[in-house]
Amino acid sequence: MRIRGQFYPVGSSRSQDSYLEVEDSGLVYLRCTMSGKSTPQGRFEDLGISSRVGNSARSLRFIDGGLFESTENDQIDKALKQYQKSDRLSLIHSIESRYSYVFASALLMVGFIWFLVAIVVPYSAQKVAMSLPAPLAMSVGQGTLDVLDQVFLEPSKLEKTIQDRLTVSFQAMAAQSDQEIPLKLIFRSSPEVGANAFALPDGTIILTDELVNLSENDAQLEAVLTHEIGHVVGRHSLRRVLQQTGLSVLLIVVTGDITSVANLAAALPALLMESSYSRDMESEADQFALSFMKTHGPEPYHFAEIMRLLKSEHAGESSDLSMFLSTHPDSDERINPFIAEH
Amino acid sequence: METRKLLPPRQEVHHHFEFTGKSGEFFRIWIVNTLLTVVTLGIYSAWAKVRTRRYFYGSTWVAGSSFNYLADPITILKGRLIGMGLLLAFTLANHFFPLVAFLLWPIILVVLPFVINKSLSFNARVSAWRNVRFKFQGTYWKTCLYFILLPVLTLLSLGLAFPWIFKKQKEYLVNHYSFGGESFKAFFVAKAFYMMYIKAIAFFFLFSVVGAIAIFLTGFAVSDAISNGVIWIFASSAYLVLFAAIMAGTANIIYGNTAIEQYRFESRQKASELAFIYLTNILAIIVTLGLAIPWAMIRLAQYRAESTTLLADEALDHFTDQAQEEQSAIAEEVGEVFDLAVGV
Repeated sequence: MRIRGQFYPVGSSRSQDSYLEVEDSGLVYLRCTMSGKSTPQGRFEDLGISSRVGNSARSLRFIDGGLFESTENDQIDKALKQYQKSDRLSLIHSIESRYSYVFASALLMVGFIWFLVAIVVPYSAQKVAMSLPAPLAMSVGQGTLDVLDQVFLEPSKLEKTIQDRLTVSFQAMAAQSDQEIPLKLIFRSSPEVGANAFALPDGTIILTDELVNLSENDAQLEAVLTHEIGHVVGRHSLRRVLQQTGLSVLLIVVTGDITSVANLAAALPALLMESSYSRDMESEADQFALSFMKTHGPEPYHFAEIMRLLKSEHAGESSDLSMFLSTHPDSDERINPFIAEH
Repeated sequence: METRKLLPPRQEVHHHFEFTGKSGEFFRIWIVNTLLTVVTLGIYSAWAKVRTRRYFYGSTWVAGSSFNYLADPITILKGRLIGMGLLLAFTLANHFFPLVAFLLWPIILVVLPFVINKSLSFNARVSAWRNVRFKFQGTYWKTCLYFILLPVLTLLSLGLAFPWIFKKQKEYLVNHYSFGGESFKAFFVAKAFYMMYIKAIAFFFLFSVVGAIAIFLTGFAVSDAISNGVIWIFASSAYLVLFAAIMAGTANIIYGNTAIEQYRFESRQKASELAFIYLTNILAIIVTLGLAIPWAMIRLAQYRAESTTLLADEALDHFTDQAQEEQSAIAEEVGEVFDLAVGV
């Protein structure tokens, strides 16, 4: 068998048009095309042969370090099969050479990414978040309140009596919620954000004056507060941080070789997942609120009512901010379970 | 060395670079790489990287010989794992202990030149042509000077010193590369870099003005959505043209003014052609949701190879491989995970 190519003696850039002659016995001779001179190079099975990558040039290294380079990949594969007993004909190359395998690979990949992003990441984030000690969980987003105070929030203009009344009922709810993170209710005014409530990782729950004014009774506000307590109990902020970290690690893993702009296709779905994560957390907080209200009150329909009020209040405005702060009615779907209880 | 002086002057031959990679073939390699990387949670990425590099190196030819990429995936994997570990630690530190992360920055800056050097020398050492390897020998302090200290001047000079700093960096890199014991030599002049940037910025403004006129005209006639679209198209093409002009200009200056022994290179990239390739690449990648990435990579490699020529004698036979100490890829991969792109 003959394999045509170029020969480079050890450690030199001298190039020789040559071919390898592989005898049936497995002995290899290197023959120079110009001079016809032939030199023995041992047995084929002792050559160091690089694995096949498409039809790019392949190196066959002799024992003395000399290099034979050839693009006659099929010939080399044939010789490999015949003379190198280890029948490890590049598996990767055989997958790469068939379009059907490639297509199956692509499908498999999409499915696997979905599995990682939609199941593995949120599940492990939840496990980790719940197993961390409370003080650590509370330390996430330290200083968030300061930032919010500077950017969106103003001191509350609510009457002291209203604040006190709500604080008292909040404390009763906090005592009933039975969890490690100490809960605290504070009041702020925010014309920018409007009627809203948010939960911070350290157990602080912010109620805006606008929401208090929008509500028709205290029971509605208490209903909103149970939902916010649900965010704290579920350690949602910590889970978000963990999920984001998990996603970015995954992104780097998938894109692998950053320098070659690789695999945008695989990275995209991961980015899109973020919003679905926060929807999941919303419904989790809703579920917490529902079961809390069933046991400790107020009646669940109050939640549905305040949600409707909020919906008409925020109708038509851009929801970027409220999306981000993640306390807002999404759809009737969310409200329904609370009405059914009525 | 003595014998070379006795040889008669050799005749200069144009050795054109050639790229023989095919997008269909590389597409299959790429998608299998991606799949295995994802399924093995990134472990395979080291092999994927080696296969991709080997494909591109092995498909790039000059004077009848292709390039070789010799890195061992296991070495790369080790570096990659350490890099990922550090990145994870740093990201978490950033979230939980911002102060600690802040204090880490000076340490990172001190270690950085070392990482850059190791990375460059690893990459050079695993690159070979005709059984002879490349080599990079930088020093800690010079790398520190050119890549950590000088860039501060960019800010202080409001960007005016940037082309000069860029020139110094490239000059330093080229002068410290060698092939078969022969050092590369850079003959760059700062003026060329300044002209290149001025030209690129001029292109950018030209595009912006044309864009502004187009917006002005469409602004009257049609809806907001259309003029927003027009703004978007012109803004991104202006940026693309700027980028292409800089990439083409830099390649032409660097390859066109580098020598090794009496050999020289020629580089004939055109900003317009490169911009067209970038534009069509990006459009194709968007339309195919990323599946055109391999095609885009192949086209770019092909254009770059075809615009480059080596002017040398016919045989190119007297470079000899120099013994090089084995190095680990750890520093390189750490650098890569943190996205340090330093190179010629």
